[in-house]
Amino acid sequence: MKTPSAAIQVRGLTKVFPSFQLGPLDLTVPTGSIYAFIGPNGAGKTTTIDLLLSMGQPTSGHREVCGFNLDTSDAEAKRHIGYVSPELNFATWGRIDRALRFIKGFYPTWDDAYCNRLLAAFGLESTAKIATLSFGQKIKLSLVTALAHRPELLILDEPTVGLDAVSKRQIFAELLAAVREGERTVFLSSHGLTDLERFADHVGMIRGGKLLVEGPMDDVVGRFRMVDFDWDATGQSADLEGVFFQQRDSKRCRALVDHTAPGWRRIQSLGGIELASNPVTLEEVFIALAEQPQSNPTRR
Amino acid sequence: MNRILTDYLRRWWGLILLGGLAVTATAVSGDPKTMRMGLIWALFAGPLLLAMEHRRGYLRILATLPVDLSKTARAMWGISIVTPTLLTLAGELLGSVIAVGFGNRADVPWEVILINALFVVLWLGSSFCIMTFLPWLGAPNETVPTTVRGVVAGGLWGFWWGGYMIFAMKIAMRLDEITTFSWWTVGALLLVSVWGFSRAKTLFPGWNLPSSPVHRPSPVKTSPPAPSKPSTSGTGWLCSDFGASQTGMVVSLVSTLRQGLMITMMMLMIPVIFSFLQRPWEPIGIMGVLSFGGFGITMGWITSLRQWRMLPISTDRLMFIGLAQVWIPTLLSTLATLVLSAFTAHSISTVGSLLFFFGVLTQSVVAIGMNVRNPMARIMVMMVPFYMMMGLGRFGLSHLSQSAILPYALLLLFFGSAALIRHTLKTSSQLYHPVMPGIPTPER
Repeated sequence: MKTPSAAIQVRGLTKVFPSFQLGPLDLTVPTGSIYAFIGPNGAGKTTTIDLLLSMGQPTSGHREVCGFNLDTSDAEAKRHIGYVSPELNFATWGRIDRALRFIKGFYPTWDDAYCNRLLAAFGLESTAKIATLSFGQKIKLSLVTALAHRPELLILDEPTVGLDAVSKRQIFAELLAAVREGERTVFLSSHGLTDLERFADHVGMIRGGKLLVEGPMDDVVGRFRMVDFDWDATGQSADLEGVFFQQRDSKRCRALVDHTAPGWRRIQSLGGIELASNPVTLEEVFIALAEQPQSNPTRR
Repeated sequence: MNRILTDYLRRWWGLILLGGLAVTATAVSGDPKTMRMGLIWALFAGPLLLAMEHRRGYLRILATLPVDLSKTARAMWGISIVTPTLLTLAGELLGSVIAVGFGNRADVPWEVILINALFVVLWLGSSFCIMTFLPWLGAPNETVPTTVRGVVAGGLWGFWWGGYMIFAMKIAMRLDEITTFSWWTVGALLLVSVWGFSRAKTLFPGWNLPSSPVHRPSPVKTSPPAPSKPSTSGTGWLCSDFGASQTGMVVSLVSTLRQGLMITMMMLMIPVIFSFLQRPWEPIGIMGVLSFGGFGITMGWITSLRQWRMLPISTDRLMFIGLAQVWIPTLLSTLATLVLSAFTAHSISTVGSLLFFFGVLTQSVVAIGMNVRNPMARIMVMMVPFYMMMGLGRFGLSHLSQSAILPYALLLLFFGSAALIRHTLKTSSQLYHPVMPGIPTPER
């Protein structure tokens, strides 16, 4: 099978709940990329991931994962996906080896040697009782089940939540090793933004069910600057798209500015004078975008 | 599908063997009524077991596997209905052959076995259908209609477990004894069972929430930020007061309370239904419903102990909350029995005593069971009320209920349950098995 240029391609994906709407969402995850999918709590990350795994029917939209249309070939698509989530609970099988024996049967590409190596690397005894594992160990088990069949696409929903620094490093090291081995794509949702900024090469930010920004990590973070400026906003009701105010003291303002949006040019035309402009981190971009009222899409 | 079925049989062979032996034993007795009562095993091996597995996240794991979800859903239906029915048939056949060998019967009661098989299929099929309407994880964005639907489905589901007892007594043992009304009932239940088959997919995550138009907020222009005020509406105050996994905790508590409410409703249905029956009450049916009720409430509460322990409530007070969850519905149910007895000609003292006895007994055995480490031994302990129902119920527990032993037994059970629940609370950190570890609520 020819490798598709995009591991995940989503167009106009919508899921409507009584009190929440996801989308319409357009998402492109290039093959071989490590894509960080971030957003505040309740933004729709897990719903999106569930839909990418065909866990639930979207209200509308087109989903293509690893070259398979999920509406017609979801089982085939899942054969190429490894999924990790803290919600996965293997306790029903009692012991690690029993859970692995069950999961293994569904994947023709399952690699026993690799599975054993991962178990050893994560310090998991194959005969250990799952109910007695710590939270972190359960996530590691989930990661073993996801990696051992050498999937083309890894979908990781909060894989590092509740993990200590050493375990986090271990997990990222294994993920990087897995990515290096082949043309493997990682779609990762996490709140550990510092780790993501180092680890991921693409980023998409979702809030209130809408995708706010998407693109290569450097482009997304690079287009924002933290700008200090003088501006008398009294009586101004301009549409300042792409300007996210952080502080306002009399005439002195500090805002995260998206240089590709018209808002900053508008402020300058209304007498705003730039005093300083500094680069920002992914975390700063995230906080600024997450704190804004819901209707300021800066996506392009 | 075969792999899922094999896995199920491999994991639950102990329960299947135990149930098979019980069914075989009832068939060896040669008494058709005893054979009918033995079918209760099928519920444990069917939808009830699936419900337990579902709560442990089994279906979420299955949903991630590369299998067509419709096939997996069909496998779940098979696990819940077909497998228990086939095993029941096998057990009854084996038992009947043994009975013929020992001279307990003249021949194999084919008619009884076939009617029993039909009974199991319909009863499990309808239970499965009702189960597909239950709001399993208490979605945070749940609406009033969804909640109402959940409560109604929960009450109906709980009642249906107990309804088995009444149903089992009412269904005839021979085909020519089945009335026209019974055939209509069979037809209706068959339709419900088929409907359950078509709804099996809704048990899986993401397939059970309704879609409907939503109110979209009007666009707001970006402007310099104003200081935000903490929300005081809804459950926001709880969320802000309880730190880390707040939303999950609130949802879990609400879900537990709702579970209690559902089971209380179910228990209140007992006297109502029984008061409309013309024949003398069947204490065994009441015991059955009450045992299921007490079991459900106590299990629901104990499995969410971690959330309860997070609340600023002392162990003793929490213990009384736990006791009250069973005692209040039990008292309400007994009270309703007394009130309704004014309109019927039935004796209620026996029924009242039995209601009380089995409510408290079930709570005690759940508390004991939760302290037993071995899973099989745990199931065996928790089934004590059912053994009593099957054994003592048949040989005149009604006489026991009128004797002086009962008040002492009740006192003993009350203090016993109190002590055990207190002990369980103290050791709750070892007993808590979260549905979704760490994050009780799925984040959207």
